[in-house]
Amino acid sequence: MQISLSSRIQSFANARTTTEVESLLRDARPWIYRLALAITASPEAAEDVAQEALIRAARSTDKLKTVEEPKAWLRTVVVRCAITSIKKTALPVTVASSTEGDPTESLAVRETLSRLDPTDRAVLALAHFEDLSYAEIGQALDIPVGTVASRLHAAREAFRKEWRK
Amino acid sequence: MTPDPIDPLQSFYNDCHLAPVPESLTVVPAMLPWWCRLIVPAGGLGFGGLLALVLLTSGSNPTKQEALEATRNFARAKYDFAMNQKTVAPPKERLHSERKMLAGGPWIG
Repeated sequence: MQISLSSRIQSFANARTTTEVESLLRDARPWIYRLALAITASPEAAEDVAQEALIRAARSTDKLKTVEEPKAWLRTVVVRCAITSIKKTALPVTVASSTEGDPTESLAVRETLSRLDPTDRAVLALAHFEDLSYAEIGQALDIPVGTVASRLHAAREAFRKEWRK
Repeated sequence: MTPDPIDPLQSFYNDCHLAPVPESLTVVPAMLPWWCRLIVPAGGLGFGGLLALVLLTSGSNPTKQEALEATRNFARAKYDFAMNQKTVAPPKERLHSERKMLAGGPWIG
């Protein structure tokens, strides 16, 4: 799809500065880590994923200067890094205590999540942690909107099945 | 009624919203575009290539043809010298030079 000259000029005029991009990343740092934690269910893996995502963001400063929705772009990066990280390593679920609620239940949830497919974990996190619409989940995972509903249903069923084991 | 496992899952995600962020997590400063990082090595390669070209064409490394030509010129010069010695030297030295020539001489044939 060809971008018109006027669109390019408009995009250039609306571009963020490097300082603004760095400020944006600094503000997004907690959210990036917590999203990674929701997907990986491991604080150590979440830290690695979040740092990897921040490095990739720093390398793509030009993209972040002009992209319309930087948060959506960052979300996609975090999700991809998290899925890759889960596939590469099978980290055991640590026994670190949760901030709220019953630690036993939190540990059981994390153990159950660790047995799920990485994409299922991402879908569940985007739907229940981020509370995104189907369109936004589809954009983050690069899948059609129509597929999101079936993937989410399958992920929930997989979690219920693993939970009852 | 069996409680839905999605409830503890949602509770876990609610906890994630309050999870403390590690201090070691740093925002990396904006990096130069990839093409900027190629400037120095590309410049170094270019300069090194230019320097190699200058050295190769400076005459310090003669080609095979040049070396052969120089050898022939040297051999000719030595032959001419020997012939001159033969004509201008007194008979005793000329005989000595002729003996040297017959023995093969020190020149390259």
